[in-house]
Amino acid sequence: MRILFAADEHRYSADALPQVARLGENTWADIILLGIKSNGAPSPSDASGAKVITTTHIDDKLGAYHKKLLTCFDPETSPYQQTGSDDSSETTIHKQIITRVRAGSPSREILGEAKDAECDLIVIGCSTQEGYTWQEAGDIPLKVARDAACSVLVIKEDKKINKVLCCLDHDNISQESLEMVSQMITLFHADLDIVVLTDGEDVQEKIETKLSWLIDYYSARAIFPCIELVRLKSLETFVSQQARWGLMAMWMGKKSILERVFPSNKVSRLLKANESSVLLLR
Amino acid sequence: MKDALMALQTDLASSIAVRYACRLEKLVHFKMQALHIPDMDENNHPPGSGWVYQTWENAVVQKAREDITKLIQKEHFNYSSWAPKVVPGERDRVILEELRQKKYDFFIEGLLHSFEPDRFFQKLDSDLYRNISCPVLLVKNLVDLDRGIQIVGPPDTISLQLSWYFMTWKGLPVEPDILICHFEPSLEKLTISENDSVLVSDIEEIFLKYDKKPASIKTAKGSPEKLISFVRDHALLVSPLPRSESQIAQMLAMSPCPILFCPETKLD
Repeated sequence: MRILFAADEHRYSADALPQVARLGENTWADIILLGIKSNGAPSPSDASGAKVITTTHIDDKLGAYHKKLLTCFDPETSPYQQTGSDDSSETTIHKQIITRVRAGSPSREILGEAKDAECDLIVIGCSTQEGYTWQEAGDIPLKVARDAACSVLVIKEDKKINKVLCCLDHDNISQESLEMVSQMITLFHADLDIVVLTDGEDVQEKIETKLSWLIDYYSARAIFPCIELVRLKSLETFVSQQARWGLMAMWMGKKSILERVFPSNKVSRLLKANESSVLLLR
Repeated sequence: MKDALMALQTDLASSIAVRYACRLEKLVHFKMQALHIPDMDENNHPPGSGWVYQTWENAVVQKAREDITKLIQKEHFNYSSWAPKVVPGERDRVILEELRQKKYDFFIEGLLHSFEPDRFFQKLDSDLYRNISCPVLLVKNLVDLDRGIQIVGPPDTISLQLSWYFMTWKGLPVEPDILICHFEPSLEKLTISENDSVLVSDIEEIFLKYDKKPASIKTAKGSPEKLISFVRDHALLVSPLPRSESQIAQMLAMSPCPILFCPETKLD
């Protein structure tokens, strides 16, 4: 598995770093720390005197994050190779933490890196002030969440995650996404709610069968998911009320009703309606 | 040993109810009798009359018995000492008749928790719930029993609920919490206090009779929407059996927890 952590110099990135460490440790994933430098054009914040991100600055910051990431692991059991280590005589499996800086439009570069490196998950922190900004530019987490081909975890600043809400509207769920949800529950010591979207009629038999299987799957891991039915017409109201619980996980697939209710160009509406962190599973 | 009647359909709600009941039975032993009422109008109307109808009805009942037996076997429902009963008819009437005939100590059924409360309210207003004389365990979700039990309700219902609770499940090795609810929709803020109700000594006296003590006694004042945060995380809530238009019903509709509804009938 490969995790891409898009980081900048703000607190929300520093706060998200330990979560990335734990995810990496639990999944034995390679981790890419990605910073984006501006391409020389003045940033919107220049007029107000806010600092412009320089190459040196982002390099230093990523270096600091890299060092901090390594300290999150027990050196005796860490799967991550230390920088400069060249011990090829051991047969221990090592995973990598790679630091990379790209230049250009942040969302385009993040998506480009995720595609080039064939990442399974993009993790990005963001501020909850004034439209979920990242690098003092608006909507970058939203654009990444909207356009990524892989799963995306947007960790919102200062939001404690007590519960993972998984929205389910079809029976086609991959093992990888189930494991991703399990990781989130473990990572945040959270409860699990499975939200079943209906059109007002009874739940389809094949979805009930899948739910029964999910209950078995999670019960075997000592996780007792709470099932809640939500009518499609109430979904936006429901989503806006769930902000207090912490993390909304959505399966976005071709068969997904969510793709119709919140199609790609409206994922931003979903993320903005919901103050909690969001995991989009693809 | 207590006797419980469990109404089963071949759906997820019943599957969850069976799993929950089996876990509960490990803590406080009781016998369970499964009862299934097949949907005779499913897909088509009964054909003809006389022996044609009877043949069709027998076939439906036999198919239903096979389906329910599969569900029971799948959920390792080993606690019933009787084969599942399959009785055609109007659901509420069949259940009430079965409860009347054999004097069960409580009734169990499943209902998937829903964001929209209409199905929950329909259940509360049904003939079954309006006329039942024993406690009802309505299972909305499979919850870890380590989450604890909470007895909730307005001040004038708590003593009766406690009596029903101990009569039904005094063997449960769990000290329940008590939440005395004062529903005041006009209050903007929720107020919560501990051990300051005039009922504290009465409550403790009831617990003492059964050699138990409450985990906590809290009093909460506010609207149903504000009180919901207290009824979301327990393995079981014990509540009076309310009407759908009541404020406690509005609060419980939003709770995903299994609920033991206690009838208004005073115990001897």
